[in-house]
Amino acid sequence: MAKEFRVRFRHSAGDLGPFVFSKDTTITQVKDHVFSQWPKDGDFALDPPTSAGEIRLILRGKFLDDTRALFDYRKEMGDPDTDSIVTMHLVVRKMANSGKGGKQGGSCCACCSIQ
Amino acid sequence: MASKRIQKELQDLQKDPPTSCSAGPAGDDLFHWQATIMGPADSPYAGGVFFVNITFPPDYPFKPPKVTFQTKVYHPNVNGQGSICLDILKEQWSPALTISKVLLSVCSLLTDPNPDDPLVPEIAHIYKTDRQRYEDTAREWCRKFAMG
Repeated sequence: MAKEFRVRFRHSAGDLGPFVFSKDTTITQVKDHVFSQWPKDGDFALDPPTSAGEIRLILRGKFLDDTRALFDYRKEMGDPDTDSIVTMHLVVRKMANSGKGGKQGGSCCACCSIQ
Repeated sequence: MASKRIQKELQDLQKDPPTSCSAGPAGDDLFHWQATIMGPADSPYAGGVFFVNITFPPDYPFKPPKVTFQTKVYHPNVNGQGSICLDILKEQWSPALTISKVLLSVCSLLTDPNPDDPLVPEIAHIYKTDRQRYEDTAREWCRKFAMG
């Protein structure tokens, strides 16, 4: 039984990690770590999360629950041993009330719809 | 036969999943999966996460899987029940296809609808005649149903 998990995070901009987490690490702590390691350049920097709370992790087509530990998802991770790398998906969900409002009404920046 | 093949697809997906989709058994039943599709960046579905149900027939891969959206989608080829009009899920199915390829095809369908073979003729009509209105509505539905 693995005591720690090596996890990489697959995002539309590319992969982050792998990072090593102890088996008791909660999903909230995983998100905090990923947020602290978020690249400052490249495609990752185009639309970075503004807080760890905007990060969502997905495994086998399901969102992971903040309060649970990685160990709780060992089955979904395919019972990995210490050497294998687990791949999760990562999406950034901007908070609905971030209030940028730039595209309200849809008339301002409508472009590129004609090929 | 079917379960061996499904197990193999699960292992492959686990090892190296496509960037835009994630899938696996919803519970203990290997023949019933849940998947997520990330809305393609170059489409009005960008930023959305769409849930998809997958049911494998007992004679998979000789028959296609049943794939339906759980999340509401405004699209000419997806109806209110989440049914998807896609040739490879019907007559163009081949045992050489995999769930991974099917999900990627659904992604492409989101980017490039096929209004000439619509499941929802009204949306296909709007897509053809008023592209801006189609994109605005698709974006609004995406924000409402796929970004919760």
